[in-house]
Amino acid sequence: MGALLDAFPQAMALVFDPYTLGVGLLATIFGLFVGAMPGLTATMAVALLIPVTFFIPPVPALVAIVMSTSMAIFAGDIPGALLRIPGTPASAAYADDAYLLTKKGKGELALGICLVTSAIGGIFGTIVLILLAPPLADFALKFSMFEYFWLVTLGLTCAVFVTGNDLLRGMIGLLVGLAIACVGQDVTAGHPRYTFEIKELLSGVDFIPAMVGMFAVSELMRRVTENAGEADFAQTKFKSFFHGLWPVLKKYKFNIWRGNIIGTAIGILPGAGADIAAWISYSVGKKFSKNPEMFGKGSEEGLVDAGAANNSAIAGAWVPALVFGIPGDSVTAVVIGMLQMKNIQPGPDIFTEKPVEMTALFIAFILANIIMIPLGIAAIRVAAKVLVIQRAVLLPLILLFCVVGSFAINNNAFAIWIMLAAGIVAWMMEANDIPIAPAILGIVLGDMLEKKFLTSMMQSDGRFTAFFERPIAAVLAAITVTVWVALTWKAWQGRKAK
Amino acid sequence: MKFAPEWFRDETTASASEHSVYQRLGRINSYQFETKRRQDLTATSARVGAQQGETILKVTDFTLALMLLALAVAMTVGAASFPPMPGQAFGPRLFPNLVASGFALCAVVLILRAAKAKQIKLGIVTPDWWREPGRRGNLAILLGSIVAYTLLVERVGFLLTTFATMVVLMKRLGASWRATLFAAFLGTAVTYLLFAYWLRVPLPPGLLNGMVR
Repeated sequence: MGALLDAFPQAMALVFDPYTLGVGLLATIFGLFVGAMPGLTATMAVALLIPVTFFIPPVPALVAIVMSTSMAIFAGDIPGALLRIPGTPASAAYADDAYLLTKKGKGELALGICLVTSAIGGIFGTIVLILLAPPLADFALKFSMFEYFWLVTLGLTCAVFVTGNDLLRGMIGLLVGLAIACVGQDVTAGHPRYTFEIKELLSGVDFIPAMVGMFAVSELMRRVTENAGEADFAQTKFKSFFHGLWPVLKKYKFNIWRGNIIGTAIGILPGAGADIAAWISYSVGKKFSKNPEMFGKGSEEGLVDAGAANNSAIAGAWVPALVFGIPGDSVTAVVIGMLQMKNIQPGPDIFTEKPVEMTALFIAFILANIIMIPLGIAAIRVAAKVLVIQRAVLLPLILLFCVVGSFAINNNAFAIWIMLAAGIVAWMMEANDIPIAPAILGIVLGDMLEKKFLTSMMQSDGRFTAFFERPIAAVLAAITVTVWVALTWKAWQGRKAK
Repeated sequence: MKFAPEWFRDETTASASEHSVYQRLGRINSYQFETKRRQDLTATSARVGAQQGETILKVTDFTLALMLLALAVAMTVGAASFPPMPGQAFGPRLFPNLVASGFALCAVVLILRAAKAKQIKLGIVTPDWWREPGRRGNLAILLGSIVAYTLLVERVGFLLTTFATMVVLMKRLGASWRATLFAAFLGTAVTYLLFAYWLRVPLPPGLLNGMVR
């Protein structure tokens, strides 16, 4: 913590540098736009930004990512309220409520709730990140390869079980990711695996084009086969967003706290991000509400519950990503790849080795959630004009960005092939109900899992029991095994019951 | 309810309104909707194929299992040529083999499930959009334009290839000529300025070599 405080003045100077602020502002507008366009997600915003961040210094790059994701998650609420189409999956839980409130003439209130709870949630999540990550990193310094092996295993386990009711399909998703991670020189002997004598594959499947393909190209493939609907706005002109907002927030202040806590916790959990956080907070809110019948029919309470949760998950997801290199959601999975390219290795040392960058990250998060209020209001006011942008124009432009971004990284057209292949794989997976999130974690963590296992085995001369001898390792192992046994048993019971 | 864990997936979250949201969502998150709808449809599983989502290409579970098995075999055969680590029990082969066994195990479970549901059949569960030639054409042109772009960009150059690809795609998706020319020009110019000037990526000049920096 001391190193971070010492770095504070320098980090402030870096964040408030005109260049960084300029990049941040562009990223903010980009995030608001991508979030508000239905079908374009926050992860896609980051995947499209990564090629650009590749060429700029670490602090502006981090600021750009924080700004764009925070804004995108809020902006997803705008078309939810105006068109009943959530802009990102994180706004899906309460799109009906927001829309029906708007229909009743309470559009300002609905969007005001979304905006202010998003900002509060974002700041809450950031405070947890600031207070939790550095001490956790201190604790994690004691971890050896054995603990890391179990942590990675536990992270992958989480990713499988949070992604849906079919454990089997989650497993397949994870295996696809691990299989992709096998490509390239192996981590110990350096023998090329499944490279088909292609030199570009020696270092593994390039991360950036793979992410662009999985999150952007697959979405384009889906969108061009869809019918384009006409936008039918529930409201296009707005008065004050704060009129009558305070009493509602005061009435539901407990819901805000609960939403923030649920959101941050879900964010920290590997593999689960803002969308799951919103769903869970919404359903918990409904369960404990005095008026559960209003949920889905224009409930202000439901908006508060879910709105407070999704933005706090964004910051929460950075905790495991920074401290262990285990992404908390798909956004941070992409971020870990970027950090490694910028020579910032996520791990317990990150706060002592890169205190300036980390402090700048915290400042960026706080700043993002403050400027969200004025810029979010501006975005709502222009939304009715921007959201009518033709699909026929938008989709090719996104494709252009995907292709150029993938190409630019190594100035090599081979990356576009990787992007295309990853896009098709992700499209096929989604079509067959195989979740993408575990696959991403598999790709990000595959090397680490293999390396920790093999080096641990070498160190212990091939004794498996060494994985259970250290106390923390034994605890983590026990948790992992328990989760797997419980899940398998439950799945078994579920099948028998049918 | 794509991601919500099982213990939250109960009557409090499943409502009629959810259905309508997902319909409006289109593809954004229809995995979760599909999963839920699939459960609703298990009783009439024989007709599930016809009722699956409109915008996805899905294969039967049995086909998926065979694909996974093929992948597992290919991975194992490939791994057989990896040399062992001298003096070590495990080497480069271990992980590919473990992943392959995982795939094989998943395939077996899928086949058992298919057998139980009497759904041992090969093939694609044809979605509605697949039968509409316009949509299939859109997909083919999207993928084809990526392939053509990759093959041509280094020879013809960034500016010409990009502009041409944008025009083809935008016209195909139904934009007016005015919107197409405007957006294609602006998109090409902005990406060029962004990457070539600001980020200093040497984009291929191709045929325009010497005419632009």
